[in-house]
Amino acid sequence: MNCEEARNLMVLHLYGEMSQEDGEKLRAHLADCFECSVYFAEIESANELLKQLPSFSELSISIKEVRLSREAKISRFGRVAGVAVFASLAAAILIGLILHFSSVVSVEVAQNGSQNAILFSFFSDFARVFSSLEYDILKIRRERGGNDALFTIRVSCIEREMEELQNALKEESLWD
Amino acid sequence: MEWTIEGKRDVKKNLEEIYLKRRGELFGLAVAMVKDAHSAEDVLQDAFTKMLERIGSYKERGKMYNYLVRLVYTCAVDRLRRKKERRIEEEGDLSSKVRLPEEKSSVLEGVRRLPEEQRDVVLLRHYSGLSFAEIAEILGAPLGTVLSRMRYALIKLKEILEKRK
Repeated sequence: MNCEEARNLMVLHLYGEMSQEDGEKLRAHLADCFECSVYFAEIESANELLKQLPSFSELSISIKEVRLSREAKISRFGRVAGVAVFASLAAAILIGLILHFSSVVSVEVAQNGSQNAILFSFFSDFARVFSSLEYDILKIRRERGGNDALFTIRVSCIEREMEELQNALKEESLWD
Repeated sequence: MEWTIEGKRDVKKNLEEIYLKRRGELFGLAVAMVKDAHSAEDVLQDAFTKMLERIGSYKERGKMYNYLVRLVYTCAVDRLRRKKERRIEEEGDLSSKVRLPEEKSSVLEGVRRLPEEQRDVVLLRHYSGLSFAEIAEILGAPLGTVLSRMRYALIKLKEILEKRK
């Protein structure tokens, strides 16, 4: 193995992609080659710096925050319209769920008297769900003119997300 | 988890699945490459549109997510090239728009200053979650070349960040 090959293997090692066999070859090379040992220490420390590169979720979250606050500032009307859509959607689902579970809730409330706790949990879950869905709805509404195929995919994704969240809500201890 | 292109019928379902579960990675890659969120959304839109257009003629049995990463990457490169040709000024750096800790945004800026070939390998490896071998396939370059670009990038990044201090 020459130095060039050994140095490439170092990259695979840093990212956990090196095979055991190559690991042994690299170790043998490093034992013999001082220059490569120095080089290894150098790229290892450089790689530590790269660990500070923001993750995709950090990028998405901060962009989402900035975008939401900017949209609220720029377009009050758009925001109001968006909220109206969101509110009616939320209301429809809430009504559906309340009708569906009203009997369960009243039994539960009667049993342990923790009405506030139940209501709080109920609404905080929904607030969490809808704040994320609200953003998606605002966004796809704005892009509707763009591409119909992608629009359809996004809408069905949101529907699935809502369905999954509703199921998750049902499964949460609230409704046991 | 793998989504493979088996037939047209499953394609839409698979695309939905990818959109639902991995759009964060694709979006992160696009943002990191084109520098602002609005262009990144366009890149993602272009990539999904191309995927939908090509699905009929795409005969290879490949991993759909990898193919999408390739599309996001090529769409981002196209966009950067067009910007350069039109000499459009950068729409401000991302770090001023997003709330990232100082340390993190300076590393991101450092990566952006790398030579293109090195920058692309770093961003693809960091954001797409693909291995170097898969990235080599996307870039159409031998694995050895991709690995050496990565280590040159590491050395260069260290230099850039030390200069800034």
